[in-house]
Amino acid sequence: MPHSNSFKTLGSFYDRLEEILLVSLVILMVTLGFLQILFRNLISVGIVWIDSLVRHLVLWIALLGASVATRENRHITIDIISGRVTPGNYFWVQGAVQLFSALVCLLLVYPAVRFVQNDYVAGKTLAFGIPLWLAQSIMPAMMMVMGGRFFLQGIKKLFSGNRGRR
Amino acid sequence: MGILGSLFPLFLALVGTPLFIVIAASGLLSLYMEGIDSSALIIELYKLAHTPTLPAIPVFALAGYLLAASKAPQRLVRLSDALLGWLPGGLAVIALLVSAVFTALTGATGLTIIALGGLLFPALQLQKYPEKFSLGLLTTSGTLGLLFPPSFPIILYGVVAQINIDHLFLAGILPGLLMIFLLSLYSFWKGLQARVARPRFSAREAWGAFRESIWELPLPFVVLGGIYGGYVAVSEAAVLTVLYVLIVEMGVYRDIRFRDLTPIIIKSSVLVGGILIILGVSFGLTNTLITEEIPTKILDFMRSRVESPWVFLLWLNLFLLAAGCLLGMFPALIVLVPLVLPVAQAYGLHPVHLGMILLTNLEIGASLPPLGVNLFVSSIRFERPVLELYRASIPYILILLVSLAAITYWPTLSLVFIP
Repeated sequence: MPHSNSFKTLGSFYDRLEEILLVSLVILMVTLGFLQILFRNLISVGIVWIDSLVRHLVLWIALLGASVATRENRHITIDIISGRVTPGNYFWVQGAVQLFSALVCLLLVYPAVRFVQNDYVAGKTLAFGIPLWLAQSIMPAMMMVMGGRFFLQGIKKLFSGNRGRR
Repeated sequence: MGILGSLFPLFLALVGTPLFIVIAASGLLSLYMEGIDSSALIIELYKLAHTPTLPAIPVFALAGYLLAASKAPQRLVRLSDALLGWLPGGLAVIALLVSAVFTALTGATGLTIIALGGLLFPALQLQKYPEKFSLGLLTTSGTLGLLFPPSFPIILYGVVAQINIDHLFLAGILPGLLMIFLLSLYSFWKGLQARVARPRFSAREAWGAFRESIWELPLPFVVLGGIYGGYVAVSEAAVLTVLYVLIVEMGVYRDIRFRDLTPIIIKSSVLVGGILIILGVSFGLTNTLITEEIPTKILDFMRSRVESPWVFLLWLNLFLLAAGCLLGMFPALIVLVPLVLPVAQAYGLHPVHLGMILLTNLEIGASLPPLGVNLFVSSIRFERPVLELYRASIPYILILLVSLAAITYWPTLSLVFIP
């Protein structure tokens, strides 16, 4: 089906974009940190905006990293019973867990959007005229992405699990 | 929240739900029941963007992954082999030292066994160390350097408990050395007993190995010198470390090529993201715990049964060992610190001392049957059944428990350098 193919291409295009963004932000963070050390030690001037920018980069890297972890199914779990259920039931459990995870992430989207809206109204900026709300909008965005990923993976698990048992 | 409120997250966790989802779900539930707007959870999550020292975590993690991808482990093993290989049990002591240094730099994330195991296990077998001895040694060494700076779990404890990280770095040195010392004694003894091969000391080999690793040797001084010389803060030391590692591994040794960089950065960021998102949703949990007065309730419960701080410490250790084994290091650190810290302080424990006790327990818990993570990493790395590793680790766990007792009941060991 050409339809599902273009859907897939779009997905892998997004995956790539996410990775490029993640890598660039890590490099940017190290560079900014180095600049700060230089300024502080050579001309004894600390640059205030670097610190707050770097801290926001931590938020971005954490959420983007978590999103990639969702894609690769590498979130930290306490894996005690998964090895002890029969494979047929295991698919079912995993699918249900992922759908539940999707629900939690999606429930967090709306409060995150409202949080961002508050700062949008306040109109503060971070540095270089980057508005603060833009820096914060990674929270609803990644909750949305993770929710979507959990949802699709959950559906896939349930579907292939059913097929496996038949 | 009552019984339902605490059983529900437990059930979710046990069926394999990602931990951050479990914590976020119980956070949402308790906010809903108290009639508080759910954006409170987002406000807490946003703390990731204004917690000082947090930027050190992704940067140090990157430095660790870069080192693990380079040939630094090989050079480190060669150098310590040249210097200490002639001792009885020398190679085993080398394994301990190298693992400790490597774990401190890579932050106890399972990388030690994976990166060093493949080097050290064949070397130990070649020198005729008993297999069971070697397997236990390498398994329990997987988290050995945890107490040395700049290990990631120390920073995480400092962030969660809101304690000066410089102090924690200093506090870990003697307890960490004690564990290595006791394990080295055991290795000497076993080495003599098994009559392992003892290569002769060669000044030429030592010089060659020294020259080969000359660029990596200053690394600990880059990390620590900057911090204690007062030139840089912890997160800036992380930046210097990563830059130094990049220059040395890409420029001097050329172990890492430019195109290797992207996958390494992604791998380390996935690890960091997985941990920080749990931390982010747990900031809210701390508040919930306090409003529900859970630490107070635990304290009242303990107080009515346990009077002496000595007995309290015994129970604390048992609890933390189980937590380290069942929960895993990072979740245990993030989730348990807000619970344990107020209770321990009420029994008169110094927060830095508590940190050392906690980290030592989690370190041992990682090798503890049935679920310690080191056992499983080893099982995959060395292709041995987990049961065999259970047996192999027993003597090491006993020795580490002796160190734990010393660290627990002799606070000076942790606090001697603290101003």
